[in-house]
Amino acid sequence: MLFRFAVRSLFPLTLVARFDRQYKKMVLGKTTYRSVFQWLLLLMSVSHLGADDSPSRDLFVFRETQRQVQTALQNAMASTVGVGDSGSGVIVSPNGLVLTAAHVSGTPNRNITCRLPNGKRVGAKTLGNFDYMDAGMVQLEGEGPWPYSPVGTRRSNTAGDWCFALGHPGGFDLNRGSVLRVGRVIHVRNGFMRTDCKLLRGDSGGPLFNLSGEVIGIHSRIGEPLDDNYHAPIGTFNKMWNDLLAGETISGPRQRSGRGVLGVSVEAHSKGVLLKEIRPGSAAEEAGLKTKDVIQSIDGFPIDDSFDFRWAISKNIPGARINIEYVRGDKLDEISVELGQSTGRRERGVF
Amino acid sequence: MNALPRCNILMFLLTGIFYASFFTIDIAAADLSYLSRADRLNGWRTLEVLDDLFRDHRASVVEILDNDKQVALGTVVSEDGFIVTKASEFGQLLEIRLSDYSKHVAEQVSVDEANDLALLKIRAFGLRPVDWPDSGDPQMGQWVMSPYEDKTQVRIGVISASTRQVPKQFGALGVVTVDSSDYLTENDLLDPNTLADHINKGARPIDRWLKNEISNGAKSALTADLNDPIHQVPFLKLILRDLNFMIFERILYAEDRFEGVSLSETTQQAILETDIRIRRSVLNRMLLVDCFPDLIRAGKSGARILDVVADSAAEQADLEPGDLIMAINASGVGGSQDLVSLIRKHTAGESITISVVRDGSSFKKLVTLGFFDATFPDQDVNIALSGDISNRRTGFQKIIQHDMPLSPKAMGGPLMDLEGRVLGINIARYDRVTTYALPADLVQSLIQKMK
Repeated sequence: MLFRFAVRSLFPLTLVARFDRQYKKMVLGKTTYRSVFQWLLLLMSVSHLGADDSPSRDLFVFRETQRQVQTALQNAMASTVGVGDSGSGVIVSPNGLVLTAAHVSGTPNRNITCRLPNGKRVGAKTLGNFDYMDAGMVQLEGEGPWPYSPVGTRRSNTAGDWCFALGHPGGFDLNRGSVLRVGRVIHVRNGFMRTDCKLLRGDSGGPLFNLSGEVIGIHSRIGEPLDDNYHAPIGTFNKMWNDLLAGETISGPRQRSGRGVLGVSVEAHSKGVLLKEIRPGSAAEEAGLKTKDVIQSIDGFPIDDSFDFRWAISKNIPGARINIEYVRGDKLDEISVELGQSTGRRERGVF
Repeated sequence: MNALPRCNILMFLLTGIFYASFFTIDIAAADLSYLSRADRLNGWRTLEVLDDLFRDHRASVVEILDNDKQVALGTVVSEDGFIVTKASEFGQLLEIRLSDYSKHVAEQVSVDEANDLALLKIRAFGLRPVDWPDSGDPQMGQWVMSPYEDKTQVRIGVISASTRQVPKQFGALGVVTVDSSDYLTENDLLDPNTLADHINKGARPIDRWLKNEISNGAKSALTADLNDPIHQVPFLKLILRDLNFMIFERILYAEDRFEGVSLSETTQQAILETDIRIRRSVLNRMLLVDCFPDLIRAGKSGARILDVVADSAAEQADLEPGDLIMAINASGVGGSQDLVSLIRKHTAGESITISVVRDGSSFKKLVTLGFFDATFPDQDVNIALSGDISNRRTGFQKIIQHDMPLSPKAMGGPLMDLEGRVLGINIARYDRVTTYALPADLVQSLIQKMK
């Protein structure tokens, strides 16, 4: 109750006065207490005013968000298509390249049908497929230029950013068209982005946009709670763009027994992943990696989080050589490491 | 004097909690990699702004109570007590709780079946009706807010798709069926002479004896039972039914009489074939030929019910597993698939006549079809992931679609823009991402009609 009350009155200066009056009534002249109390409260309120710049607090933010969404919406809707039987996708180039989810496009080099917003059916060919991160590509057949949406950059989204989702929940419906959802990014973690743009089956493969109308994610999966909506971030597509375009099936991590092991555990870092621990006798120790090194890319694949890192290591067989680009102190360096064998023990978080 | 120190302690405790609350929020706000629940679109901190906006309109929203349980919301449309709400959420006796928590018995003035909108009236004056905007259909992407199930809370969302008509969904009977392939056509009807011929191929005395017994039996069936008032049924049926009994009896008798001597293989085979066919067809089959000669000739063999879904239209009509559905209205059912396509021609809420054969009798039932996804909730993964949804959720002349996460119990409440103007009345929670509202202009014209 008091918690709610305290939080609701977020302009605590009025609160100070109110509390002050109450306090006067209660302690009757014990001024030392009052002044301490007042001082503390004032301090808290100042710090709180600083912390509380949450944009959703202001009606202005709603209006501004609406304006931006509505500006971007027309182009975004024109480039959102139905893919296959019950998936969605988004055209990202004038020559008809479509981004979608791997579980929508399926195996490469198949013929499928896409539905344009006007209901027209267009033949298409599936391109590459990255099942592990649920990234797929499809090429529309026929004459361009197609309406398309620009693609965001790798780190174009962070928690709290406003975004909007389009797609065909429940399947393509010409009368309804694609369905808009507006929400915010909850977090970007483990190779996926979570938002409160509520999704449903049929949305899979559909685009998530930032307020400038750039594609920042592709709808992947949901959980039962309404806020459990996961999207493959555009970073995944950007990193694998050429492989996907070439129609390759990109494999996920290998089975535990058959995968190469570097012998490190990592934690999140703003520029990649930070080596937290190095196993004695491991490939990492042999190659001279040290704790607190920040790994930025492996074999040219940029590492954003431990999910990326896990894949980049575990997709290789033992004995494979990988190139690791890392930062130690301020210095960027590169080494080649021969991966070791798995110990066979189940060790969480050791790659 | 004693009370004062205690007050002090209390004050200190409260102050502690107060400070603690500030700290927790600051910590949450500092975690930039994670958007806290409160800051999400329908988190309480985001909704605070709207709470203030919505407070002014709270008096226009009422709760509909059925047996003292809140089942829907209602929207006040006139000062003298007219209220609109979703019709299919409640029974006949209902009460209305106003925003001042006073309860009133409501009288149902009229229901618009086509849009599931009910007009109610309570004896009260000076209510606060909602403001209707004078603009046209809302634009996609426009923010909207609505009261949640508990009318003091509010939710926010956007207009999420085009404003349009939603046709009624096809109905569902609620049965699982198989093709009834085990019927006999007139051509298949068992001829005692054929059976006798089969048996004749075995040359042993026991076979010859059985053959005579069977043809005698058939003859006696012909003469005797036709005069029996209990079995005033056509001839074909009699023969087959009596053959059925007869064969079993005679075989038992034969085995008894000619102990140690078995029937020849041909005879056994002939009896076995006949037996299976007769047992399968039993009496219902014959009845079919009597009751539905045209259907049988056209190859419409019906669909047999394997299972009846709980709480379905079929259960209400007392259909049972084993029943054979021969026809829907006047059209014959050719099999399971045929039944599905025939039923899907009818919408939910429509009544159809089903011709059913059960245990040797044929009867007709009038069945009111249910909603497909209410009947088969597991059929659609999307519904499994949508939480509670409205039962009646299709079949509206015109709807506004929005993405607010409302409960089915919040239907009947107003859909407002951020200026508090009412754009429509929430009419159906469709799925996880969709709620429908009847637009203001439609609601206003329906009210005029219903008053």
